[in-house]
Amino acid sequence: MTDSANIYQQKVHFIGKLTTTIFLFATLMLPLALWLKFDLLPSWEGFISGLGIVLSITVPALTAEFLCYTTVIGAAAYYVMGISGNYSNIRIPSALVALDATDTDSTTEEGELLTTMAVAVSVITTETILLAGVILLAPFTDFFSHPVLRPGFQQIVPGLFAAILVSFALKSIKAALVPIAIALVVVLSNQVSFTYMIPTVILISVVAARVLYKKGYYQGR
Amino acid sequence: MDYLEIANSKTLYAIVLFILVFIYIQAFIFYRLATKRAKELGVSEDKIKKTKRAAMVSTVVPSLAIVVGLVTIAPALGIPVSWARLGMAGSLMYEIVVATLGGKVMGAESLGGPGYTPQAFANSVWLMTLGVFPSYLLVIFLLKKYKTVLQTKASADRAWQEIMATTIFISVFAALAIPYLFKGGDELAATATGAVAMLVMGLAIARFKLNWLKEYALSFSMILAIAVVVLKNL
Repeated sequence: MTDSANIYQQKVHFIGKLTTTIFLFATLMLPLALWLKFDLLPSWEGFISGLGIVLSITVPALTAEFLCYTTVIGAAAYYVMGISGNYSNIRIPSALVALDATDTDSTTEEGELLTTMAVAVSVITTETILLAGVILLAPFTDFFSHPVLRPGFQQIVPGLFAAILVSFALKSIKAALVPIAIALVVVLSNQVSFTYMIPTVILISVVAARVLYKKGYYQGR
Repeated sequence: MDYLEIANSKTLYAIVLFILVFIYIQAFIFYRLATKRAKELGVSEDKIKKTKRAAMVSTVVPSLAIVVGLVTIAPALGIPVSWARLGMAGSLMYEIVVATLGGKVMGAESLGGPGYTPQAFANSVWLMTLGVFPSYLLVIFLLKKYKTVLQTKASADRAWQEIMATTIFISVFAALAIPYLFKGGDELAATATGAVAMLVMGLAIARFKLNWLKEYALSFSMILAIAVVVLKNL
């Protein structure tokens, strides 16, 4: 890595860690305000039992997201995505569409920079739309709750996930076959709950891909 | 005092606005940093413009889904908390599940339903907030180290690194999309439409070199999926 690339990375990690830490405390302001201003606290038992259940769901899911998305986008993009959320439904797709539109490889420094710009623009766009949604909540409620349109708006996410899957499967059909086949088997077996679906499919697919890679399956893909 | 009066209080709005401004500032700082570095590397203005446009266009439709989420949960959790959770670090399914759980362990029948007391609301907010903390902690303590490991491995075997990244990525979206195929009804219609629309556009892009379509294909696929589901329910 060159000196200037090193300086850039150091800045990214310093600002990223600092802003994520500040944000972590900023998110606590909402529950703390309920406690300190309105004297509202849950019962200790309700809080502990609820937190135990929630963390048993979120720790594996968030760890799997962290391990896999870090391979797709750069560190700076991850710091931006980390505080604004909506990883799989907005940030990762927008970063990948940007890479595709500019014919850039995600593993290069240029790819890392473009995904950072894409995620930052995506965050600003989402937050602005949501701000407009809050300001115009009454007319928006009428529009999105309209009985004719409502079923359509409720299915944006399945359409999005399917389109992304096909879009990237088309780029490397050979590499896509293994995870798609494994996901089909895992879903049809009905043995894995949705929480563990993604880490299970990733784990089996990566092991299978590694074996096939050693056997030369991906040569000339 | 009704919990919704607290949930829609000015104090909570002020906190959410502060968080929103913080998110804008962070995104802006990283955008500037990346643009400056890209110019040092000689990345063309055209590529930067294309990146911005592609990111903006592909963000609009799924962001509307968040507004739909806001419309769905704001009556139960109030606007500020729903806004903060959906637009800042959360997602609709997670918030609904955790907020409901927070109420149920406090004795409520449902989110915003009978027994959903101010204390139950407070529990929902604490759980939604703390439940995503592992994500921040991973970023703060492990992102730099993990990236270094990935870069070392990449330089050791770049071909395998590319295959692994593709496999992981397709695994995620296969695991997210395929279950919808077996749900039938609107989910099946939307999933099939999104997939077929993208397949047709992807092949057209490759066959006729329609590079301009790359930026819009994802949004068009989602809009078509919405349209098919609306028509199906007429």
